[in-house]
Amino acid sequence: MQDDELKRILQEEEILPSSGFTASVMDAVRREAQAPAPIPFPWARALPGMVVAGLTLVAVLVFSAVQLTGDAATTPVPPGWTASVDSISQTAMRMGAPWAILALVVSLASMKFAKVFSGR
Amino acid sequence: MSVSEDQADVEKVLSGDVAAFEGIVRRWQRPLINLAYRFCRDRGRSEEMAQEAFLRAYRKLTLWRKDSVFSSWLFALAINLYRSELRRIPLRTVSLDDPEVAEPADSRVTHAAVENEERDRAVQLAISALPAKYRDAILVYYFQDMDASAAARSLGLAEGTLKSRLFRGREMLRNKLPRLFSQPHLKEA
Repeated sequence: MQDDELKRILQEEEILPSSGFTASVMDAVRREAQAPAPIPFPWARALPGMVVAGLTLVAVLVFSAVQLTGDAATTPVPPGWTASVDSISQTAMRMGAPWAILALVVSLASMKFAKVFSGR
Repeated sequence: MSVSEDQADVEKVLSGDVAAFEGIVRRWQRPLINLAYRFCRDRGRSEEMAQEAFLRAYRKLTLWRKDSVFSSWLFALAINLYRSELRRIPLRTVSLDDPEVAEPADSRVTHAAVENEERDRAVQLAISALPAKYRDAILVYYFQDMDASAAARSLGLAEGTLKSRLFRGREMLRNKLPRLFSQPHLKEA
């Protein structure tokens, strides 16, 4: 079988658009044009919160690591640093920071998923 | 099909004249529907897929960089959509090992026209049953009149990658349909 033969087989059935195809596409395009623009994610408002949440998460992780290792000789930490981290992480825990972080991550993931799914 | 017509229509659409998009639809509806048909072998579904491709093109028109040919951009966008559509709702395909993907009966006992039809169907079925990356390479390469660089651009692949997928895809077809693909061999892209 020649290359041209394979091409012929693949292009054998040339189909024509149905009579209403153009009108149907243009209707869909006009609907799309009239639809309000999608609401953009409010990065300006969310960013400070996300930065704070990220820093808190880092602080919690560092604190947990310090607690787990526990050996001051092998992990020299400045005295003031431990107290600050401790204070920040305890405040963050009281304010429910882990839940806020989780909610932000879930929101971002669902936004990304929705964008991918809708092809926008 | 004029490149400048496409560019003029795109500029009109981007400046707010939605009706100018109709020119683009009229020029490209036939190739886009036929390309979709190569993927799904279903007339109704191919129109739906082509409509969705036009709609997506309308949404993303600002992303077309004018240094590339509009049709290449449109085909690449459509092919991406068609591939994801087929992933979302797969064709009713059979495995290459399925007995349905088999060569037609001996031509000595079959009427020539029927034999040709059966042979074409066997080839189409075998191509549909290929793994997606080989199937897509073959469909787009032959749709683009065997222009390897255009097909590679449409699939977002390097030309060498496309050629190796074509080679591998043809090998799989040749193994499945040895009599149809016997001498003379397909020339390589």
